[in-house]
Amino acid sequence: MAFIFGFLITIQLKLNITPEGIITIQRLLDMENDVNNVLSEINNLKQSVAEAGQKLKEYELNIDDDGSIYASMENELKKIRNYAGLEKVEGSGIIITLNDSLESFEDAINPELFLIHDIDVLEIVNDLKAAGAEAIAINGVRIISTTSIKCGGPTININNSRHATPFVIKAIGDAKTLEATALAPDGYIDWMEYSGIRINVKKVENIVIDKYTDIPRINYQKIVEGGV
Amino acid sequence: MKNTKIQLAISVVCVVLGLMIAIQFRTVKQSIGPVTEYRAREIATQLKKVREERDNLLALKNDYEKKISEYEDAEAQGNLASRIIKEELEKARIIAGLVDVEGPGLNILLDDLKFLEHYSYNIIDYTDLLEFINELNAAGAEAVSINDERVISRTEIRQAGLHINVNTIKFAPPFAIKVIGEPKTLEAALRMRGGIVERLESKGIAISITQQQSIIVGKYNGIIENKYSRMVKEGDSN
Repeated sequence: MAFIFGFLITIQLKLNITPEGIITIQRLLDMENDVNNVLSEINNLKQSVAEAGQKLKEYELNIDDDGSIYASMENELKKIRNYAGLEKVEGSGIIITLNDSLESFEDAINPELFLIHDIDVLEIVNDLKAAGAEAIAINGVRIISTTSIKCGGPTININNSRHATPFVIKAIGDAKTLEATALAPDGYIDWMEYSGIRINVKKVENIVIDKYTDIPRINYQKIVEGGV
Repeated sequence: MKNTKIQLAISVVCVVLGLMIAIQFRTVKQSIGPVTEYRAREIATQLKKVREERDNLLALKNDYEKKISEYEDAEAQGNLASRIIKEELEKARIIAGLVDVEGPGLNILLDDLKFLEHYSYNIIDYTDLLEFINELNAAGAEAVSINDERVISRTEIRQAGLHINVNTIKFAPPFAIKVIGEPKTLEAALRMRGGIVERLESKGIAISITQQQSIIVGKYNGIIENKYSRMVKEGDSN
């Protein structure tokens, strides 16, 4: 009792003395993380500033030359449309084919596991993006920022189009890296194979991925006033 | 009699023992104290400096883009073909996520209120965010950002320990999601029976959704590299 009493008194005296307030290790780590994030942003910005500066110079030179930047704008349009997924592209990459399990699941505890779900396809596509995929398509449908993948009974809806198995996912990028990500032990595909989902991953020299063909969603959003 | 003497002796010993242990604690605390405070001040200064540099670069980029737009607008005044190209350019920039956009939509916050209680893990994981964005897309979302990182076609949402990476930037909760689209439709889809909000809230995630008449979703400021893909030259591309 007296022991606790003595202990508590001393602790009280000491706690009230720190001048700067409580600096926790967690707060330090958070701030360090913030610094790293901003450094990353600076790196990216330096590159895009250089690109924008170059474009501006190109426009200025064109005006000096023949008073028109039409040709430059045409080039810029192609470039931006490509960024938006509105252009057909080709390059090296991988093709992942998914098929439902052939195993009989009549007595299975959870027959759901033997089917491919929207979250499975979402995860695989997400992994591919993390591995640097430059263009992705599922059963010929180009994936862009607003693409949704939802279960619709026995089929999967990619935006508004319905698809049944097999699901063929094409991705253009560094074929080695993409393949390694797909086949990673303890990766998502590895986990899926446990339930007998039939998965095939192969590197391909030249893959062609179509452009996005759905109606673009520009009904509610518009460029901010005074913005570009 | 003897008992009281012994009890008194033990009490004194205990008080001394308590004091000694407390002093030990204090010494340990002090040896972390000054170092931590110094480092904190150092990092805070560094953070302020890099933020300034970042903001300056951003201002420069915006300035260049504004001038570029002026040239394009001037050209568009000239003739119909140029005007059409300018319109197409703006459309493409919007779809690519390369411009700030505004419109009606939702302001959403996902938080793990008990983070400090169980700081060895985070109840909001990358799959939750992945599904959330997917739901928004299925409900007609036109532009989405997570903690002001614009979601573009290449955006990954990836677990990195306790953090979640979006466009390679590391984030911890709370996650602020801004989305442009039809507000009622978006919210209804999220709050559907058995839907994403119900599922996440049952996990203990706090979610707040506010409909907005006008919300701004910022542009993507990262880089887009095409190292492996190239455009296919088509005979007649439209």
